[in-house]
Amino acid sequence: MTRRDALRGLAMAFHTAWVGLMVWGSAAFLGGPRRTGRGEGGDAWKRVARLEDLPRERPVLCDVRASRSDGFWAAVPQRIGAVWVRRVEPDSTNGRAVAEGRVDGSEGAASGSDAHSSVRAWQSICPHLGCGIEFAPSTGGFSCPCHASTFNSDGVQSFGPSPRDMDALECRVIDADSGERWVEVRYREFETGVAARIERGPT
Amino acid sequence: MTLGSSRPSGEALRRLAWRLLLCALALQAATGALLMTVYSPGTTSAWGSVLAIERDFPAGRLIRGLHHFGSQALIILSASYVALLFVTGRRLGTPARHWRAAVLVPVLLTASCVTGWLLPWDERGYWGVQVPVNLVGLVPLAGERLRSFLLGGDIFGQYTLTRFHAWHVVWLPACILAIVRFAGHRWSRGTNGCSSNSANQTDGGFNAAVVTSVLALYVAFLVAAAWLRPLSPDPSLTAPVDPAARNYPARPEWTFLWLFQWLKMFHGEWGERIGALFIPALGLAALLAWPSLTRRWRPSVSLGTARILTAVFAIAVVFLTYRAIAEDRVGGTAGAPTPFAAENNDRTGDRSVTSAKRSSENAPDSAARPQAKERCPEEIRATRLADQRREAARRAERALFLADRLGIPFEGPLKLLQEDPLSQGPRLFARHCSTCHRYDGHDGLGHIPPEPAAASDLAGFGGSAWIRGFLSNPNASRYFGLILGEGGEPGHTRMAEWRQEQDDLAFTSEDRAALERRLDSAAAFLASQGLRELSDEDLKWVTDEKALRLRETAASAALLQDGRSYFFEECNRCHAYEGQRTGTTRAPEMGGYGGAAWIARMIANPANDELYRATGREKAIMPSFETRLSADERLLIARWLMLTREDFQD
Repeated sequence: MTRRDALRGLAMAFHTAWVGLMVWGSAAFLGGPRRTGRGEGGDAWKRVARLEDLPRERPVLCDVRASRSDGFWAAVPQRIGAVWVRRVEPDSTNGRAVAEGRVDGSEGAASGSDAHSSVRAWQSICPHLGCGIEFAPSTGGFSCPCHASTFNSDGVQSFGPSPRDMDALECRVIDADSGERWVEVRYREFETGVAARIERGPT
Repeated sequence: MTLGSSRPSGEALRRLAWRLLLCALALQAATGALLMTVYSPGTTSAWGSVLAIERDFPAGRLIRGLHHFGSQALIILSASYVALLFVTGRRLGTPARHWRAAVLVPVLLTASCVTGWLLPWDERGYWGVQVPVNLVGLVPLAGERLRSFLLGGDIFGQYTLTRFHAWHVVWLPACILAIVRFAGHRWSRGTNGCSSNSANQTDGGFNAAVVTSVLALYVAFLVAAAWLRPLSPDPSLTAPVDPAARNYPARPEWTFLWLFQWLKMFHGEWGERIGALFIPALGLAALLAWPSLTRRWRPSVSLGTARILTAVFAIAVVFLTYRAIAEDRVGGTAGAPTPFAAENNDRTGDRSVTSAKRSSENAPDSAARPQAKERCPEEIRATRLADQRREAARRAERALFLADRLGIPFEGPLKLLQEDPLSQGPRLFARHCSTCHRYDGHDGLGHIPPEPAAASDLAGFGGSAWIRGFLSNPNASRYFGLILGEGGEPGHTRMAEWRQEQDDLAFTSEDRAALERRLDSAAAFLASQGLRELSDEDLKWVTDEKALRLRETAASAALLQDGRSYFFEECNRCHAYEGQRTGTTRAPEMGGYGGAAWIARMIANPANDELYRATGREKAIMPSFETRLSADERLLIARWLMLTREDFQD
């Protein structure tokens, strides 16, 4: 091995090393930040409405507020999403809600502290491609203004391109210290466009 | 070579089209470079910087307009160029490399458009980008990972904007540049030898003057489009986006409407993948491979196939674009509030019957599907879409007004809208108040709630017309008429009784006329009460003219001695004024009546003794909102009512 070969080898090693470093560095850099926005735990129950304020059987779009940060910004309390909440009154429709809860057995059915009132909640993001779902009182069901998926008042798909029903969210009614009854929701977002419900990202 | 002899200008036309395409690309680069000198990628700064381009920089509208319309023109130009190559095909001996490059250009331009939409961080761009980005997530195996790589995270945020900015201004242009270099290299040397030798003199059949004129026409067209923007359906800038709101009717730019319509045809997860990914990918692959696929075909056959395919594609694009526009227009009668109420009442009964039947028979959910399908006419969707568009236009107008009047705060333009009583007041009213109250007959946002009204209509509340109407007939349905106590009996009757007494005491027509005059002046005096504490903090939300009008009303009312004396003589017996009353019967405080502070107190707790009492006759029927609404929210509703009351003075 001559000195020239050795030098050439050394140079090659050096170049390989720095190119490798650059490739690794670029890939790592583009992979995303080491820490992203932080906020309240995704599992926390979020209060969305007082039970009394909800009309019977008509879904209401309720804001979900939480403290969340984006990138390097400090966390600030903000509206992080919205959920459709429907108060189900068994009294008004002869035990309908109880029966219904058994029929579809969906996750969204949650009974309050007593069996006479319950609420159901759905994510307002369309499972198709992420537009905001609307409620149309004239049809008594939900619909997406983008690609015209429609759902009935139980969030079950009736027409359109959506691959699944509306995403039901866990919800419950709790008695607050003040004697008021509040509806709480576990807010989660799901991947769009797929038939399975796969939770997306940290909330 | 004699292949081109039947149409000698074919080659020249391609050259011209290619040159036009390159010039259009250069124009995008030039205008883009100018825009970059002002644009600031950041969730709180992007919208403001685009507004600054539009509003503050000379020729800013022109430059941004050129960039905007240039991008649309480029999509059409590049697609047309591909079509031109396709239908003239091998006859003119296009090098395969050039063909492949030409096919890739529109694809990369589409990606450039999508990344560009997001940059203003306004509603249209943000919601328009959601769908294509979510489609990326459907790529098998690596979809979600690819999506979060493109976004810089799982959800749209700060890093999405910086990444999209990088894709838009560096990465994608670099790819396009590389491809164009790659394509142009062989092209300019002219491997087909058809007419490239004479290119310098006559530019292949066209002389230089023709080329220059076509370019000049193109630029003139873009400049005209950029200047005439107010006439086109694209407003300059929509409202800053609230990612949590999801209330914007997202539609892609018109050049991509056909793709949007195409997507509606594919249902379910795999349908979506087939329609949005596999078919386009297959089409693209077939196009790229077209020269090798058809190498063995007779030229006339391959050319004929290409022409038929192009015609079919063009017709499909036109048809789908037309359908997309037509479906959004069905019954889209903008203007009148949607009359949901009556219809809904019928339906509720119908619905509960259906579901009762369902639960008793234990029928599976699928049984209900066809029914729901019948009940969902396109018409309702289109009407709702028109509503949403109108609301979005109102938000945009409001955001631009506030940005002009107050400047954009450091926390971002969204804060302006979130603190704006005229934006948030109606929203909160619709959510919390409209189950009982109405605002000019609707819920504040233009919809009629399904529940019948059970309290006063608050449009114009506190204004002299409202108060005068109330004094004429306190039990009218617009005022206290619909308010019922717990037992269903009329809730507030004392004012009506008082009014009856006054009428009974007025024997002659002169008496009656005098009474009316005194009521006029009392109404004017009370209307002044709401405006006595008007502050700059209130008035900054409205136009100068409106602020002036409110101030004038407040100032002129101070001179109303008649109304004042009548109030202290007559009304003050029951109604307190700053805690003082001359009689023993208790009625709500009238000092500051109808002002933001008074209304906010009323919302917080109507039964606070100063206004109504918690028990007894004339007790408060309205519940307290102290825990349901924050102090800020109560003030937003109150300010909105106070600031808009002059709009209802007949």
